[in-house]
Amino acid sequence: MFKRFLPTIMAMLAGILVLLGYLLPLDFLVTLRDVVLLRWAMILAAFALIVAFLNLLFVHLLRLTSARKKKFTSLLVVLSALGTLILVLVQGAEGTWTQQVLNTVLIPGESALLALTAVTLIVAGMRILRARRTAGAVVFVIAAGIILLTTVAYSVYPNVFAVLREGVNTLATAGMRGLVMGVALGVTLTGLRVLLGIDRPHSDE
Amino acid sequence: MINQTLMQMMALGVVLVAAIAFAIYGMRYRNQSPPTRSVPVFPSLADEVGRVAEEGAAIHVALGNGSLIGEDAMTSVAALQGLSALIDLSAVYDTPPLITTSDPTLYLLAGDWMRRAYTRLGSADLYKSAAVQFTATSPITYAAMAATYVSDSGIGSNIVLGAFTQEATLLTTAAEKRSIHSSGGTTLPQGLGALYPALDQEQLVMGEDMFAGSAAVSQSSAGSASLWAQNVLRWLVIAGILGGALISLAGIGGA
Repeated sequence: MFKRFLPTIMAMLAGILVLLGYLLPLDFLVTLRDVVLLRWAMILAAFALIVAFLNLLFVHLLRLTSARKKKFTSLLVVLSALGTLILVLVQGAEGTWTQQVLNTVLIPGESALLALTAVTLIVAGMRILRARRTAGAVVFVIAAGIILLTTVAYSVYPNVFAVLREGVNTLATAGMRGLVMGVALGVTLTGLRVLLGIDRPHSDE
Repeated sequence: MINQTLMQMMALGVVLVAAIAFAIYGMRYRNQSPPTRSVPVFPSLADEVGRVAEEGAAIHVALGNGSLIGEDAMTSVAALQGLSALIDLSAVYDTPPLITTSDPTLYLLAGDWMRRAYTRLGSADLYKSAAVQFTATSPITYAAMAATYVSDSGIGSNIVLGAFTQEATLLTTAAEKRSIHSSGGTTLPQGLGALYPALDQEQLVMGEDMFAGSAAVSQSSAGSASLWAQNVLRWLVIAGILGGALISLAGIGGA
């Protein structure tokens, strides 16, 4: 009984109060939202991070002790996770060595991965016409080509390509806004279903 | 200040109209599920369970980085609802998918969904917590790590569904290298740009279609009513945009 209804009632109440805090210009609702509810949410999220970190260690320790191949990645993950944890516990998040690890390992690594993403995107874009000869694919490739060309051409001849770039930007913005607006409506209705207790993602049906 | 209050009132109006439209359609179709737009991906997701189980492999489900306390919360919830049939069927056959996420709160929710699917069958002891994995907090590192799982021989299908940006391309590329079937979708434009060239059109969930998953999978009247309410709101927004443009053209309401 409690297991079924308590989480639903709490979720509905918290959700409605936060929503009203954004929609009604009343100070006590804003205070309740920012000082109480969102702070509780942050604390819960911090606990979720601890549980998730333990899951990461558990999964990779399990992989290390299993009979499977390719254990090196798991070993690397466990060592770096524990090493970083110890470093942050000893020095804090702003410590010299912690910042050193961040600036020399994490940021360059992520930048490299982002660069890799650009390459895989270009390869996927080039492959689309070979794998899928549909009108949508043709439009996609032409649009991507025009955007790339206008971006490059504009940086070289800004006066000549200003109008074309403006036109491309307007079309791209209109498309993105249409997409985002549809998503916003979907978010509103899904949120309403949760707030009204019709959907209960957090408890048993 | 006036502008902010006006915006708040308009947002409240949208929410109220949505609630009223939802209530009307909900009551009208209380005992039947009205026809709604079909998104072929969602019903086909559960079919993957049988196909992959025959191969002796597992399904990889990437849920992305939509935090439950962030703006992508409902995207993550909708993605999980769209996957509910797959999760239930996986529990029935005891062939759990490998679910990965880069957000701790979403990790907890996904783990809970998997555990509840087993509990409903009365076999909670069969649930393995390693079936749901948190891989990294950074989206790009998460995608790279999850891509190494897809590269493993034990994975036979790849589903990328949730809040993703361009990092989704790492997951689809890893699947393509092993000739693994991929499907999925996202609500974010950058993610769609990455997924569109990689997935067949029938296997791609674009934007607001993500929120049709619940109706498509459960055939519930509430899910369908919410889609109808969404349609009503869409037409109201279109009417509002056209009205605003006409008012602006007529020069009413100042600059």
